[in-house]
Amino acid sequence: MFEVKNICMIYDMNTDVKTHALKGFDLSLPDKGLIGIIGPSGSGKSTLMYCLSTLKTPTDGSIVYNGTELTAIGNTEKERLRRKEFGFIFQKHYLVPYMTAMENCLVAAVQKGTEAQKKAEAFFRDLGLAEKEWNKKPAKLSGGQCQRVAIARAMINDPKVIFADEPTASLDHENAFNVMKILKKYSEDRLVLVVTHDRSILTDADRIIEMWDGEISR
Amino acid sequence: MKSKLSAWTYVKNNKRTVAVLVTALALSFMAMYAAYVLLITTSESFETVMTEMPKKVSYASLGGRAYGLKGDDYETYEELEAAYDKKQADLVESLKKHPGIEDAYYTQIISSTYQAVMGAYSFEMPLMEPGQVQGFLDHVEAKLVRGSMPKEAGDVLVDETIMKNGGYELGDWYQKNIYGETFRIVGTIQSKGLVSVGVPNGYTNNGWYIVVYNDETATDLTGILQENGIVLGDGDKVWDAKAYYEAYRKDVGDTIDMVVTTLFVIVMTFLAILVLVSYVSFMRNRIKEYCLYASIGYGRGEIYGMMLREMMILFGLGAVMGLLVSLGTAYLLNVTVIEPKGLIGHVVYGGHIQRILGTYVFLMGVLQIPVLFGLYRIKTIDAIED
Repeated sequence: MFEVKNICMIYDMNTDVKTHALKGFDLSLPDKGLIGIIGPSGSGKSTLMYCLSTLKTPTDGSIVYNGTELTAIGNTEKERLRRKEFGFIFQKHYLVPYMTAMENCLVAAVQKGTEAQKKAEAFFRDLGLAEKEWNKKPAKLSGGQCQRVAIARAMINDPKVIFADEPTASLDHENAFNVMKILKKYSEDRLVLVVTHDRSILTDADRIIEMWDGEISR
Repeated sequence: MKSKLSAWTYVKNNKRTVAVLVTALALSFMAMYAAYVLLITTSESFETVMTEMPKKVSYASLGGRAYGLKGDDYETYEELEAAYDKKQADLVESLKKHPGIEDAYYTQIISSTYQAVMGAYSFEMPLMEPGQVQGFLDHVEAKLVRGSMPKEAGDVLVDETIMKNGGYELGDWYQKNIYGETFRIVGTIQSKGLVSVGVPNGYTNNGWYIVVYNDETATDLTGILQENGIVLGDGDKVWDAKAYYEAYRKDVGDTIDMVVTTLFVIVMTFLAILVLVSYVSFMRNRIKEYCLYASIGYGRGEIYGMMLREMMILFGLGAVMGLLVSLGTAYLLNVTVIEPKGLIGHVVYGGHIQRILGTYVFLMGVLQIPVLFGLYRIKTIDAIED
């Protein structure tokens, strides 16, 4: 699904002190499976995820996604990919504070209406979010519940790839385990990339990519 | 249903904030409209007198020079006065024969006062013998609705609107503050031009005029006098349709327009600053939301579309609510202030409503500046997390 060649990302290009977040490596990712990207803070794992998901453009190198060179496409095409083919779970849940849990999930839906609503309800049930929570706003939900809403939002369009940045950071052990179980299930026929520094949540991962100082160490 | 960022979600889920914004817009609408209604009633009321009355009656007060008389040509004042009277009588006779003029005569006038919200206007009220009053009423299409026709010196008939305006009752002394106990109201009349009429009661020092009963084809008394060889000078006064209109335009229309425009500009400037500041703060509070939309694949155009739709809903609701509140306020002002004072006013002023709505559109245009600046500051979440 992804073919990465010699990917480089340099921050602060116009200053004397440049930060090499990605130092030029190759990587190939399959169409499905749960892939963990692990490493300490500053290792470049989030940068890699953002480059793969088109949120960032690498300074150098090539990223081919299903035959499309992501570094060469325009903003409109990038937006289309993020909208229809990619799903995002951010480190902070980034729910819209004035929207209910249901509205937060549906805001990402490409096709709105009853079908999307039913799908969101099914995800909420699978994620263990009780029906009475669906119409609550994020301020009335716990951190774990908010994260589950964010996960449902990421899945609402059945994306081909889910990018998850520390998806279990705000969850207790039990909820973290449940979330990883759902992501594992989703990865049976889709690709799920999980960026984390917590190796314990990657026990079911099909592959773990370890990063260190902008490079793949293993 | 294809996905689009909904503008209603914000409105639906932020009723308190939306209510505050909509109420602020509606109240500013109402303030501008109510001020206009109160001011324009002055203009409308005076306009009735100043445009309707000269369609039926005109007045001229001419000095000797207007007739070509020079004091040096006469040995005594009596001779000059006799010559003046002769010229004037000839002019009156000539005017009576002019097409469109039913009658003309020389008589005293007094002032009739019409008090509006902003300022007062004094206009001519002819005095005549009791036997002439019915003819005057017939000519100006006025009818006696209460009381009786004047019989004695000092009896006056006053238009019912002026009665209401001055707070008069039948039997009251008319314009007591100016004329003392000289003119007593014996009847109320109804007329288009708010005319009043009375019987002289001695000399009242308001001047003597040639009163001309004209129709709408002979409202240019200045022109008619010139046709009759009259040369008008600075001391001569002619109150015909053109003169009344000029006075209306200069003393009333332009002044009211200036006050209305000034008030409008002041209110709009404050409103524009207030809305601008509020909207910038409103956008700042939502910047992470916009960043989220950008991150999950909504384009800037779609985000801008949502912001624009939200703005249109807010302004639309503000305009609808403002219009309803304004019309209600205008109705109340008419019932409690304007009509009881015998002033002329309306509830609906379409032109001004359009002007306020136009201002709302202008404000929305002004708001595009912070919106467009904000739009280009929207980042994706990776940038926020960096």
